[in-house]
Amino acid sequence: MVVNLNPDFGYLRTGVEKIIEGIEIDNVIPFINRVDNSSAISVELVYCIALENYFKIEVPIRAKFIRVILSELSRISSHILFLTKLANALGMNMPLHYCLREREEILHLIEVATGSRLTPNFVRIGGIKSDLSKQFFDKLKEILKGFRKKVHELRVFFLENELVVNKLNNLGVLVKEDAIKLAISGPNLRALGVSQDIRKNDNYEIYDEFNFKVPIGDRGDSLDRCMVRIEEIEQSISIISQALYKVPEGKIRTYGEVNTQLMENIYSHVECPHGELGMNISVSEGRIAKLSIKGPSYNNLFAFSKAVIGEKLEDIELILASFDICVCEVDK
Amino acid sequence: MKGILRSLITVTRNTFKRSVTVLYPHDRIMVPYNSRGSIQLMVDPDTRKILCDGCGQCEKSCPLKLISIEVDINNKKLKSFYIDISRCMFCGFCEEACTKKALKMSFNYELTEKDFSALKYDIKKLTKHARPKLRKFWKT
Amino acid sequence: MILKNLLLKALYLLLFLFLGVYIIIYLHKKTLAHMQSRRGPLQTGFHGILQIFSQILKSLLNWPKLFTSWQDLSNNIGVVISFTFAILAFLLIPLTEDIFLMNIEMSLPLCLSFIMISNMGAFLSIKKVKLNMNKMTALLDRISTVLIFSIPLFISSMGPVIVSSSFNLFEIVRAQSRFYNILYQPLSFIVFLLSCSLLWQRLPVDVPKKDTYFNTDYLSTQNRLNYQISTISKYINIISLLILGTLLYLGGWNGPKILHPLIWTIIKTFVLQVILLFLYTIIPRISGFRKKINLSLAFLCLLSFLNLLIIIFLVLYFKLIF
Repeated sequence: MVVNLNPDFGYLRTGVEKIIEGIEIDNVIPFINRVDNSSAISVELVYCIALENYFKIEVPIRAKFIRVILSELSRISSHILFLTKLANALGMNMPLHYCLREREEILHLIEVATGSRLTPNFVRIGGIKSDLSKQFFDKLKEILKGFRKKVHELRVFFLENELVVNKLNNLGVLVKEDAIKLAISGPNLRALGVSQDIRKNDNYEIYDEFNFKVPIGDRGDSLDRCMVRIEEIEQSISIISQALYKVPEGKIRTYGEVNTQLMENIYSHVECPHGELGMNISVSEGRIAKLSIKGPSYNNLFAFSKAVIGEKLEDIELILASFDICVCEVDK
Repeated sequence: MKGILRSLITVTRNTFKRSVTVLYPHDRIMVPYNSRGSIQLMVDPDTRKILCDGCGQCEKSCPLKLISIEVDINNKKLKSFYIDISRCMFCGFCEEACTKKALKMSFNYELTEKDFSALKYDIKKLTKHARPKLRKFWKT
Repeated sequence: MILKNLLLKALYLLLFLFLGVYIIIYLHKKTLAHMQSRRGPLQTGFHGILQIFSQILKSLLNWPKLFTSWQDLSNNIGVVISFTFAILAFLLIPLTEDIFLMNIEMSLPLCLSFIMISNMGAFLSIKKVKLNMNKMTALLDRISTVLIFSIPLFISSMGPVIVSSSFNLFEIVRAQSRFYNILYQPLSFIVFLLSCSLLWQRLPVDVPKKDTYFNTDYLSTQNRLNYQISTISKYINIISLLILGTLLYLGGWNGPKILHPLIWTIIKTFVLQVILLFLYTIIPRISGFRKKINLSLAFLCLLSFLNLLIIIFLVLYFKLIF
């Protein structure tokens, strides 16, 4: 039985926040791409939204719709990567390869739109880099038609298989008082029964124009965390299919010049697939003076060390895989 | 029991479908047209001259300062143009900053060399795509 | 003369065994690959037929190193034991009425015990390494799987024995000329299949992995030669278990006279092999000492005892002996 667990991290440190000091405002985006390895668009979004809200720059509506479509696509790909890690920890080979096969189509879509699979470099201050062609929208409609059926097949492997359900039931339960003290957010918090979603509470892009639900769990064990993420994939599919019919024509980016002396504590936050991602920027004379990123996986790691107490030694790997920790966010 | 039977049916259906993998050295996957790969300087097809005139915008916009340009001030001709590919992160800022559409990124991603010093591209290698290729009569 | 006859017959049987092992390894690699939507080996030979041949050739060149000195032999004694007992277990099984090596009275328990010994033999070759607590628990874990899952194997195979009233494999097959044993003993068939797949030490039952802190891998203390020989002996074990399964439950070589009886045994083992492969894809990993005891003693043994009770009841009151 496990009595205590001390996580030891810091082996992937690259020092991004120190390298950025002294670079001009427009050139920062390729550096902070690498902080989140499965959904890189959310990190670019935070940076641009923080500066736009502070300097009161208006973003055209077509750019907002396209940003929402791309961030939902990366959310689907990140949750499918979570399913592959869970299948690897469970010991089942077949769902692993099926999940990777479905993820290939989404990465191909992102490559058609932006130019690269995992580091898009697409969001700019005041809009996006370039327009999406008609070929992209046709392909998106084609792929979305058969995607609901594929997600349902994946769901049968994890949530309706009695052997897997018996294994994950009541495993790694997190208590509510611990969760509030450690400041967790994202799907790990929603599995406890707290309905907290930045897309609904603190409306940032045009998320209030879409009709979607926020899935909530009951008990806070591993099965609920798996269920919440699978339902979020289906909600993302419905958001994208609603956005496809509402995209207006128009401009993409607003240009302009802004006066910058020493300005401090520019902050904003965004719903990343792992949790709540926040960024604190201070700018002076057109270059960045200080930048600090708050990654949600840092808090999830300490919640994992609390949830393991009282379980057996051989179940540690399963509980670690069900918390969905991205190591690049823990030590940047 | 129902869930186990349904997953067995999907496994049997997938054994008789086509496989997704590709034998790499013999076949290749079709990469989209606007993916970011190696860098190329564009050439006018009629007059066979390089479109770049050395304004220096790409040099200013590179976040890692990898481009170095030398211009002949009297003739306004390009003397030398060096890009260090070994440290490039393929971000695409140089392509976005060029006003005359002279620098473009193609979709070629196989850029390996045997020597480390061969990874510093000069004008001859950057315009290799526009020179005619020799035909080979038998395979080597 | 008798010795020469025996040697020739043993050679023919060993050739059959080599072909069987080759085909089973190739089928495993290809079907598991196609289930995961990728292709298997493709380069050497037509669609990868000759790849296993090249692997066996490469390992065969290293086998004389085992016998160069007494110390070498004593360090690797476990692997030699597992290989010889695996081959011995295969040689005792008759394939048809005419193709057999020798006719022994108690062939069934001898076969099963040889298979159990050859599974445990791989643990004897860890002499050079200092054992600390982690590796000790890993060793005990490995030994316990073999012991725990061979108990239901023995008990469930008593079912067909009671009906045909002898331990001899010939009599068991002759007693199934009208009805196969699976029709009125489905429970013991399920128990036999499950314990077969769990004895096999492949993925559903806790593949040993390399980890920096929890070194639960006894295979990391073996060198490459031991690993190759022990995998080959595991494949020989699974073939002999499958053929035993067809002889006990599916009727052996009985069948319509259209085909040769040897072909009937081959077809029935193939059917059993397909069922085993599909079991392998669905079951998640069973980890831990306690869960394995729960599975084997509480679930599998209970089922086999139930089956024995039913059979005894049927034999006493309805005189089902053939």
